[in-house]
Amino acid sequence: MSFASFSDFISMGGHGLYVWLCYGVSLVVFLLIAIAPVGQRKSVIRQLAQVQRRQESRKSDREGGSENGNESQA
Amino acid sequence: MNWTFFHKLGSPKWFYDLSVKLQPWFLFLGVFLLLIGTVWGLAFAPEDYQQGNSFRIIYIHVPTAILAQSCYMMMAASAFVGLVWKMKIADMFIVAAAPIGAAFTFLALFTGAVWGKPTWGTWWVWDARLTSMLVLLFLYFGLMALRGAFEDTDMAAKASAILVLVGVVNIPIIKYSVEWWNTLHQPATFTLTEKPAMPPEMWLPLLIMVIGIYAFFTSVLFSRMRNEILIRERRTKWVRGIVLEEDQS
Repeated sequence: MSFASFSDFISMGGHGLYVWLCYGVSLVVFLLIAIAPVGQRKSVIRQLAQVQRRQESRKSDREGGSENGNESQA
Repeated sequence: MNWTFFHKLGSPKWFYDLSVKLQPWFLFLGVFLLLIGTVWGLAFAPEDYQQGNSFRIIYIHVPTAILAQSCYMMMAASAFVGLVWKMKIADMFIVAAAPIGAAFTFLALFTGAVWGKPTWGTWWVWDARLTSMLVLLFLYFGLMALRGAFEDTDMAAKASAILVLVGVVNIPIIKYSVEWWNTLHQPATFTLTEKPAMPPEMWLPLLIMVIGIYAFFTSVLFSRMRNEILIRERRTKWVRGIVLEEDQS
């Protein structure tokens, strides 16, 4: 340990404000970088799922429509 | 020469599966090393005889600055590969890496400014090292803005690859700025050819932080690239399967 006491550690020989400001801001930025892709993934999955559902329902509509057409012909 | 590896690397599915396997290890390694380096650097490394304890900012400043530049170099290599071989994954790398690079460049500038106040008596000077780092930040921002300006992915890929390659001229300027011009900024702490001027208990935590930040970068990069792959390969069967599975859970 390079400090005699905990308050020494906090004050950093008068440079505490600078040191802790740097480490604090960096911690926030690191957390943001790490968490951002998790949220991004959720929204990507949600959007793609929506598109897929729409495509599926359109496909089944089309199939249903052609069946109806056959019935009217018969 | 065997090119199978290269071709596999270009396959989004192969890369996706690989990154799922590797990512937790990189995240674990990164967080572990960054924690050790921070505690060591903040509490146990001896104080600098000239700068006192403000020198402890080095343990964030130098790793983020190294990564800010090396991320750009990786993007430049990727841009070249993308332009020449038209690998899809190369452009995905650029898109995924740019925001991380921007964040680290910001941190390098911010911690540098805060460190400058007690050391030089000023937050900012328009000298070569600081200005060229600011240019790097704007290159990252410009690249991210450029992506948003294109509808077509292939056009966007080409434009951003060219921008990345043009901007690479800034990297040697950053590196040699402390030698070419008179500057307040001190010369490099680490060089490949010489022993560091610091005692090991000062530079070892720094080395740990540098390795840790690379591991952290890799893990975040994998997550971001997976998102990018999902979007671009959304029409493929395997991505549709993943979407279906995860949407239900």
